[in-house]
Amino acid sequence: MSFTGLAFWVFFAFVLIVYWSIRERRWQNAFLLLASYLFYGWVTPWLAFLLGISTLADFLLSRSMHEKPARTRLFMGLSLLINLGVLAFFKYYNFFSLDLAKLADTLGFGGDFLLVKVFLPAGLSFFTLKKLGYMIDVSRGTLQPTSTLVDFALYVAFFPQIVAGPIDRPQKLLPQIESQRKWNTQYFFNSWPLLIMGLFKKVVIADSVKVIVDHIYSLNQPTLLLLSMGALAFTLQILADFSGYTDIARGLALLLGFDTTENFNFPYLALTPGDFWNRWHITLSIWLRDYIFFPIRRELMRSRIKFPQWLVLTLPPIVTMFVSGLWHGAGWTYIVWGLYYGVLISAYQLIGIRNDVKPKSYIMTGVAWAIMFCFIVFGWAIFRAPSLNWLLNIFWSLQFNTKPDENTIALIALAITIFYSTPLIIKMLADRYLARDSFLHAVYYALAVLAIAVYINSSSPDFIYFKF
Amino acid sequence: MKFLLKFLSALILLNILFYLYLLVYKNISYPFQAGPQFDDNIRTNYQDYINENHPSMVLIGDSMLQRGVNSDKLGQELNQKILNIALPGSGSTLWYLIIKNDILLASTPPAYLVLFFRDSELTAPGLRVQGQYLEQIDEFAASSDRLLIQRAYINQMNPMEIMAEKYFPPYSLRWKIRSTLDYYIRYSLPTYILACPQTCTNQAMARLFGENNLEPKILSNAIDAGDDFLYTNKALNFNQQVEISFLPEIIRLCRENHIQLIAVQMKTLRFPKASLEPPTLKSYRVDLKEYLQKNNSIYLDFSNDSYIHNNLFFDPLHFNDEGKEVFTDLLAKTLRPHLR
Repeated sequence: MSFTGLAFWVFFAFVLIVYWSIRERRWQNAFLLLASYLFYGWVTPWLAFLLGISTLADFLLSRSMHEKPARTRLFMGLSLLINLGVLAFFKYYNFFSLDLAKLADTLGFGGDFLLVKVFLPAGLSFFTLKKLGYMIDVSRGTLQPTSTLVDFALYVAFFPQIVAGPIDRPQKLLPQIESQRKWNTQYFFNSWPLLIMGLFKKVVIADSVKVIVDHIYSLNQPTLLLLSMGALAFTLQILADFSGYTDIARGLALLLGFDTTENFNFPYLALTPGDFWNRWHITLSIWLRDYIFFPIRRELMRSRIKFPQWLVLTLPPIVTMFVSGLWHGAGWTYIVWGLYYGVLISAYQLIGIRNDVKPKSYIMTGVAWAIMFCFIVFGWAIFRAPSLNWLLNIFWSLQFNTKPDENTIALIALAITIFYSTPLIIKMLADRYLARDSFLHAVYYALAVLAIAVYINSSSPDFIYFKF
Repeated sequence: MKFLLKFLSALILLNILFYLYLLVYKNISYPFQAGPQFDDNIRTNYQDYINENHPSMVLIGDSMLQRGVNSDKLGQELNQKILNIALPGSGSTLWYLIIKNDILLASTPPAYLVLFFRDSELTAPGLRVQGQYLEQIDEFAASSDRLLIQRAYINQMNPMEIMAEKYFPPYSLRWKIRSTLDYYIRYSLPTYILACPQTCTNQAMARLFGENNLEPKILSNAIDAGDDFLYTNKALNFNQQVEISFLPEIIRLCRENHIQLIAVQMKTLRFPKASLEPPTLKSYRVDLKEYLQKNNSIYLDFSNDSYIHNNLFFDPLHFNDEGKEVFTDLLAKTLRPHLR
C-alpha cells in the first residue's frame, strides 16, 4: 500500500477510529501490531511472515542476552548473522547471481537455477537497522530489553515507519509504546500540516520532476550538460520524495500519539559534507555514527599500535560511508557514492574544516555553500546513474560541445527544476521570517492542497527509498 | 485551532474564487460533469482516405502495428488494398472511436477490420486515455459519446474521485491546468533563449529520446512498467471486463456494417516462454477466443507462435526490421484462408 493511494487512507481511517476506541494500552499495541502486519503483507503476505520470524528471533536473543549475560557475544553474533544474512541475501543476491551461475557452470554444475531473480522485501534495510540498533544497545547494557513480544514487534513493524523510516532508536519509540496513550486534539493540529506538506512534496514536486530525470538517465550517453541538468533535477526529486515520505510518516505517527524523529533539516544548506550528513536522513546518520563511526574511531584511538593522526581522521568516515553506500543498494554506483562522501568528509577534516564551520563573512558562506552544493549534485549524479560504466563513459568522452537538441532539453530540465523548487524555497523563507501560524502560511497550505488535487493520479510511482 | 481555521478559510476562499472564475469567464455550470468534455470537432482523415481510395482492409493498432507489419507487402500478398492506422500510444478506446466516428461514416466501409493488440488490451477501456493520450481521444470523440465517458473514465474512478470531479473545481480541471502549466514550463526557456518554440522543442525531444538513443535495459523496464496495468487480476478477468469494455461495441458496429472483424493477438517478450505466463493470462486468452468466435469474429493468436523468435524483437514489444518482414509473411499466410 502506498501512502498516496486511496486504499491506504481508507485503511488508516479505520485503524485510527478503532485504535483510539481502545482504552487499554496493551490492546492498543496489539491492534496496531496487527494493522502493521496487515499493511506490510498487503501485497505479498509471505513478507509479513519473514518479518515475524526475524522479529521473534531477535526478541528471544535479546531476552537470552539479558538472562545469560555471559553469553552475550554468542547471542549478539547470532543476531548479526540472522539480520545481516537476510539483508545480504535479499539485497545482494541478484548482484552476484550472474557470477555465481558462471562459477557453477565452470565447476560442472548447471548454473541456470542460480539466475532466478530474488525479490527485495520493501523496507528490509530500514527495519533491519532498527533491530540491529536494539540488539547492540542491549548487548552493550545501555538498554533494558523489553519483556513484551508485542511491544518489541510493534517497535520493529510500526507501519508509518516500516518501509522507509525514520529509523527511530528504541530509546525514542519504545517508551512511547510502553506508555499509556490517550487521544489529544493537539495530535491532529500537529499532524495535518505534515501530512499536507508530505503529500505536496511527493505528489506535486517529486513525481513531476521524476519524468525529466528518468528521460535523461535513460539516454545511452547524454552530454555532460544534460547529465548536470539531470543531476540537478534529481537533487530536487530525491529531497522532495524522501522528505515528503518522512513528513507523511511523522504525521501518521502523530495521529496515533507517537512523536518520531525529524529526518531532514534543510540538507542543501549544508556548508560541509559532515554538515550535510547531519541534515540528510538524520536517523541513518546517527545510526551509522553510533554503531560504525564511533566504534572504529575508538578502536583506532585506544589501540596499542600508534596509528598516524591522518588515518584516525580518515578511516572512520571512509568505512562508515562505504557501509552507507552498501546499505543504499547493491550496485557499484551506491558503493562509489558512499566512498565519495567518505573521501569528501576526510578531505575536509584533513584540511581543518570542521562540520559546524561558520565562515566569517556572507561572501565566504556563499562560496562554501556553492562548493558544497556542487559536491552534493555531483554525488547524486553518481547515485542515480544506471551503472558505473554509463557514468564513466560520459566522463571519458568529455562531450562539452552540445548539439541544439541537448541544449533544448537541458533548458527544459532547468526550467522544471526552478519551477518545482520554488515552493520549497518559499516555504523555507516563510518558516524563517514569518510566524508559523501566520495567514500567509495558511494560504500556502491551502494552495498546496489545491496543487495536490490537480496533480494526484490514481496510480503513483513509489517512493525512491521504498526498495532500500 | 486558530491556524486550522485560517487554513480552512483560505481553502474555502480559494475554491470560491476558482468557482467564480469558471462560472463568469468559462461559463461552466456547477456541479461539473464527471469525466472530460469533448467537442464535436472530429478528425475525418481516415474517412476521407476511404472515400477516395476504397481500401478493402483496415489495420488498426498502436506502435506494435507500426513496427510489426509492412502493409504494402501485406496488401500485395493478400491482393487487398490496405489502410494502415498505426497510432503509437493508442489503446482499444481510441480504436473504438476511430471505427465509430470516422471509418464507419465513409461511403463504402472496408470489408475487413484487423485489430492488433496484446494480451488484455481489448478489454482495458481505461488504458491510454488520460494525460497526454487525452488529446488523441479528443480528436475522435464527440460530445454525444456518453458511453466513452462512462467506460473509459467514470468506471475507472472510485466514488471519491467522482465526487471530487463534480464538486471540487481544481480536481475537475486538473488535466487542463497541468497541460497549461506544462506548456509554459516546457516551452518558455527554449523559446526565449534558443528561439526554439513549441514545434522545435517537440522535435528536439522526439529526436533526442528516440529509441536508438535509449539504454535498452531501461527502455525495456519502462515498457514493462507501462504495461503492468494489463496483467493485474482484475484486467485478466475476461468475463468481468468484457461487458465494461468497448469490445462488444466494436463487434456490434462491425456486424451492423457487414465488416469482418479479425483480432490479432501479438507476441511480446514480457513472458518469453509460454511456461512463464501466469495461469490467469492463459485462461483470459481462452475466454477471449471463445467470445470472439461466438460473435463471428476471427481470432488469430501469435502470442506463442514458434516461428516468431526472440531475436526478431527490438524491445519487449516491437519487432526489429527482420521481425517486421517475418511477421508480415506469417500474417499474410494466416489471414489468407479467412478472406472471401
